[in-house]
Amino acid sequence: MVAEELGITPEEVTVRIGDTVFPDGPSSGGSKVTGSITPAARNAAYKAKMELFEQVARIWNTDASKLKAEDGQIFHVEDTSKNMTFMDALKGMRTGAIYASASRSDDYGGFQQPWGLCYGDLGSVQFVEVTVDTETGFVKVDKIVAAHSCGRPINTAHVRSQINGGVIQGIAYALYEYRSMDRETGHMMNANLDQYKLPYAMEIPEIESIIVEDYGGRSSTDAYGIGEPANIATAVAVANAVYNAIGVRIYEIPITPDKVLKALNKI
Amino acid sequence: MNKFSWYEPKSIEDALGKVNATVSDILAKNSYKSSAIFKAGGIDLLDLMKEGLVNPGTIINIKNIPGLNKIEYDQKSGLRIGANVTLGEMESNKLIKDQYLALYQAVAQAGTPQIRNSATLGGNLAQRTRCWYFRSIDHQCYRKGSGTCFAQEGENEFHAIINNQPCASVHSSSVATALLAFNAQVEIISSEGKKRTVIIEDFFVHPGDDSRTENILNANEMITAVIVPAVNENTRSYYIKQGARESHDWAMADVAVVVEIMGNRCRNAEIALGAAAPIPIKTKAAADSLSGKEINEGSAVNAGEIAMKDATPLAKNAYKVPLFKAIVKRAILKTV
Repeated sequence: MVAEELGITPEEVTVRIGDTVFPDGPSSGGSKVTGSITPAARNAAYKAKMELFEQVARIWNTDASKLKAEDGQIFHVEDTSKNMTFMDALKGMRTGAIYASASRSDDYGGFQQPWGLCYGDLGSVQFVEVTVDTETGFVKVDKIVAAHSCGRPINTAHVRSQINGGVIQGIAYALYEYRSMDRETGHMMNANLDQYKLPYAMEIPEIESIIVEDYGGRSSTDAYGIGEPANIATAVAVANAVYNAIGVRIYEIPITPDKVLKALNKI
Repeated sequence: MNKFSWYEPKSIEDALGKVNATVSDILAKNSYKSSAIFKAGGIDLLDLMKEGLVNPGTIINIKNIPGLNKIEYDQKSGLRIGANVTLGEMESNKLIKDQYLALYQAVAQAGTPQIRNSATLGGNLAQRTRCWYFRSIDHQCYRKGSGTCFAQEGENEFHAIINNQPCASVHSSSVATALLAFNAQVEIISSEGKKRTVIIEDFFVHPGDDSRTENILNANEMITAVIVPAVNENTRSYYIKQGARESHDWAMADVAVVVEIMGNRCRNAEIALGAAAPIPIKTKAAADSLSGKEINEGSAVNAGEIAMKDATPLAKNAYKVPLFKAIVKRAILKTV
């Protein structure tokens, strides 16, 4: 985001986080990090750029609004003979550094949504294919197609990775994870990882993710969150697929062999 | 975990001269400072230590004792697998795969590749139950010698459905299920140098016979080898394990079937079940029902029904009954 705004490469940008002297950021959660941080970062980069342009414009005796930064160069949009590298522009600065900070609140530009602008208009649809063994009661997820509207994907690989993670967690929620509480003694009996069933490699199906780009013009990046949304539809879709397979609805998760066999009147 | 000292014995005699406790001895007395216990692959013992259940004063590392890590085969006497042979070594042994398919299948599905590369056959047989009450430091359960089996009225979804009184734990070795169907024997040596060989059925101890021990090993004894009798060209076998997951999991139910097929008739069938009872069991009635019969859907379904006729499931594990019926049937059908 910052590199794009300044016309330099991402490698030339150093990110420093995790120090209380830095400006406040959103909490890392709630599916709002990307939607909150990227517009602020972009706006701060824009401010810093414009200040640098002011200084360069003074040398070229022109107006800062006529300048552009691209591919490591700063140039005049009408008179391309006026150009210098970004690095030379920095060397010629009248100050040692330019500091800029920006924020993005939920009433960005006077526009407001009750659920907060960083969420955008999230929506997702997931399709699940399962195999139900009607003799043993075991459910196996074969394939999941997950279509997600998530504004502008900032890093496509990361978005897909988040969708994969959400889907896998959703499979765990649908088929495996539960807390076994001993009623008499009040102890959780499956607190070790060999007892608390999480999906491992063999339980993970083919996951096809479809990223639906959706530009609402609500911030300088149009990025929304994808963390939680990737997880919402999965368990429901798995349960619906099981219903579609065996014709009986199971209303409780995880859908274990015990519940499937009971639903099929085999116990 | 408490501090412990480490001892590397040079020989079987050296190890047997030093050892003075089994896991059940330490669970009963908790006198850890003076106790010296065997460790082979360390898979079970280290878990028991991390769980706070056993705190041995000395660990005797028997894994490096020479001579216990061989797989030998003789056409007459069969397979002799040293106690320190790892499950990984068994898995990659071509003869086991070719002649004892069910054993190969059981070994190949145990734990993870990393665990199989460390776990030994002796340690696998001598491991303690994974019953979550047994494994909980907060529950003084029947298998630890206290008299209460919490699983009877508690969280018993993974527990035993056959012979599940007075304790409903299941033995965790799925390799034992296959060895049982092949009528394997366990070779044991004591500190006096006395050797005894027991059939694997007699190696495991039902909680009804002794609440504290899961096998017949005394503190001054060590498994040296497991002997699997020779099979013939008519022998067919198959093993199925069903866990909550396909990856790295304990068996919820597992079955090994060994049959001899003459013509299209079945002879000398053996069916062994794991995770059904507190110890791996054979179901003789089900196996006998196949005798002289053709193996087909009908005879296989029937054997599954017979295998489960004595089942007395608890509140949360009745699903295991149809599960066992299904995998017994499938394993039988896979032999032809």
